[in-house]
Amino acid sequence: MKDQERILQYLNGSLSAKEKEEFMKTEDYQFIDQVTQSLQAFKAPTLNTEEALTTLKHRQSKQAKAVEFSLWNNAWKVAASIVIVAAALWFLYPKSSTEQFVASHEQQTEWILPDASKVVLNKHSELSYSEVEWENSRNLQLTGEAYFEVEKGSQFTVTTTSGIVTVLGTRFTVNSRENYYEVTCYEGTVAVTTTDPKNKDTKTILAKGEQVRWVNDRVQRNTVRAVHPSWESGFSDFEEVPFYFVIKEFERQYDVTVEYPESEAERLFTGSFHNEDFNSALKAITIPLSLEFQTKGNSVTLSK
Amino acid sequence: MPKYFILKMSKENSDNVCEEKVFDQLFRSFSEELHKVLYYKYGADNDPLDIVQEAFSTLWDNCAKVTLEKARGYLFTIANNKMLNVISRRKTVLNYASQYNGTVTSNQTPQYVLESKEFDHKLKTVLESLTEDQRVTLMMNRVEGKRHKEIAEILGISTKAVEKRIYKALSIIEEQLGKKI
Repeated sequence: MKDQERILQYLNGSLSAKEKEEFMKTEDYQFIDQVTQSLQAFKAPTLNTEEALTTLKHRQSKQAKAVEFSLWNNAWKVAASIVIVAAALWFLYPKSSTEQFVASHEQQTEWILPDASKVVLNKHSELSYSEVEWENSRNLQLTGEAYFEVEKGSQFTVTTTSGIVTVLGTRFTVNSRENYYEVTCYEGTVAVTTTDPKNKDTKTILAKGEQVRWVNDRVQRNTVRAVHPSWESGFSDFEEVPFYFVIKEFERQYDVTVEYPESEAERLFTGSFHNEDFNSALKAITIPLSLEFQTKGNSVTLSK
Repeated sequence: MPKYFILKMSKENSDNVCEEKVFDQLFRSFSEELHKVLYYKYGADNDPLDIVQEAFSTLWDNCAKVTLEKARGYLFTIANNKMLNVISRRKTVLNYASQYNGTVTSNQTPQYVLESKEFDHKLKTVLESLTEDQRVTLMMNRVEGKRHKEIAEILGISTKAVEKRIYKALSIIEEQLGKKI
């Protein structure tokens, strides 16, 4: 590194636009930029302030005798409140208590389940579970695609129309679409049992970095090197997937309809497209197959 | 005391730290910042969140003795002391953030991917070998996007010292990794 003063000004964000432009041509900039990008990997986890505060209070209340004492003095008030709250809950609590998560058409959504497991739902996907039974069995129903980070505990089951995935604590994705069922395991092990009549009752065990996929009724096993699903970071990724399925995902991501030559439907596509940049995504799916595209409102036509 | 804190507190009439409202406000204002500093200084394996909780606990126990203006400095000192007092303090280890997918995208050549992975790996080692003060200033600037003056306020040192540390940290990285990547 050469120009210390200039570098420090850049780091502090105090260069003028013109000076910055100049600086960006230098080798120093290239080096700092590379380091900065790589450093992002070591970012501190975000602190949930409210949760931390609650934990702190909880700890303190265990120690504080004075607080306990005044609570005892007010015991009758506490008892009365409990009765009132219980009564209110009795009347207000919904009879059926199925919790349903729906990812909107515009964006993927992230939820934390009652056991602190994390779910990211891709666009056009739904997930539900019974609140009452959750304590005993962690059982979820899924339509569409979701990524899971499961906390350790009792058996965790994801049921779809095509199959069932069971795990104890691990990270994986399930993608269940029409004539397409794919499970990828990023950590730990998962067991997949298909329930589709065409390939009934096959049980597959996936280890870290393994993927299994049923397209129509063909089975395919792959290995993946990624540690997270690509769509979670805004990309749709495909490896040797029939083109019609790529188109379907494209339609879901952008809420458009796509027409394409039938001869292309079964061609295998390897590549990825961006989920937030329509034009670059369109190029990403057409250029590799040397297709032309035309857009009109909400419809896209691909031709040879 | 940083200006933003005074703004946040001005709605409160009281400045008595023993009042729960005031104490909660202190927690909301400083816990995150304190956690970050501890994390970058001492790494993920030394339970920075635990130390944050303990520091606030100590503040609560001594609330009558600490004025609002002194509370922030008090917290940072207590937290730092507690960390240093942990007998079995572990080597600083920075975890790869879980949401991070690498700087790699699909259209890069395999060679580039390989080289940048190697770069990331080496960087981790160098980062962990920096002094605590160098690492925390570097990370607050490059990852948390804080200006030199803000970092100086947080760490209670001069802006000049901040600049010195960041520059030194970058020089060490450059020396260890080389400019060519």
